[in-house]
Amino acid sequence: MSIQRMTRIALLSAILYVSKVVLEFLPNIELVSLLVILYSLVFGWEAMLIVTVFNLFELIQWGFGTWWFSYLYVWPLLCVITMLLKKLVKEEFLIWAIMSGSFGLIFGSLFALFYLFVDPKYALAYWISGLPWDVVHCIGNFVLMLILGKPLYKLLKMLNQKVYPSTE
Amino acid sequence: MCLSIFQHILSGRTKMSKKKKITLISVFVAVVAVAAIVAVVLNQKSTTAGVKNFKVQIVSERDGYDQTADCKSDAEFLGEFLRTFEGCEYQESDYGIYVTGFDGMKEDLDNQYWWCISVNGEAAVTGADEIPLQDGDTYNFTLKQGW
Repeated sequence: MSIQRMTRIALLSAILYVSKVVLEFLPNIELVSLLVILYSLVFGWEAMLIVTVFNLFELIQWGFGTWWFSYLYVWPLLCVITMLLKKLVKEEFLIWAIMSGSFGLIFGSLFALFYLFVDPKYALAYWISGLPWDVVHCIGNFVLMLILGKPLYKLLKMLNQKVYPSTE
Repeated sequence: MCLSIFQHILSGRTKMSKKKKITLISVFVAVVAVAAIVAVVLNQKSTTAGVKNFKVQIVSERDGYDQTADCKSDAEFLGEFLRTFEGCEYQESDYGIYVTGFDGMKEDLDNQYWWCISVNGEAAVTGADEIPLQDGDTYNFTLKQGW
């Protein structure tokens, strides 16, 4: 892997992490989903490496817990979904907003999936009690993508072309 | 409608008509509204009014303590009752009441001792403020060690 690429991954994962930390005071309003989708749109599968580094940052900040296993598949899954839809949806950000919102809505259930193996009753209780927060997550994700999606996408694309013309 | 959106996506055009956008948003808003209603309904706990008779069992192997008491209360939730229960030590947290001890038998987080709440023998999956008091139930508080 080139140093250029490693630097890009480091910087983008740092931005992802900082975006999470600055909005931590607002429960379930986050820019991580938005950025993961945009990273996947602009940088393709490299986004998988970015979320992996992000997950490691989370591990360092919060220490090990069972929640981390859920993080290990939740964010990469968002990359995969985006990559699969990329060719179909293209630059129609209303659909990306709905996709991001829907991801917010099922976030709790995706998270609870891991607990299903630990204790199904706990997984169900966890999911149900978190449902109102999933709705908040959904609305937040939808609105943020609708407002910030296109301009940030254009900015990232432009920067990528300027800084790394060879990769285009 | 779904088919037309699917066709639109497959057609690869980047611009959607205003009508399609409005329909798409309407469907999405409807789904979110249904989810919100489901969320509220599922989280509503049915409580019973009036006086309830129930048992409170307190167990601490560390302190060699095992006592069961018959209690009565007209509180709706266990947390509400615990705030009036003599000997119960607790803290208020963002998530509601947090039991720290009974009759001086305190939790000890440094040594991983904590109070576990069970209802009729099953470990509670919510906090005491969300456990509805029911007639005839047994609420067990056991000092456990280890996370």
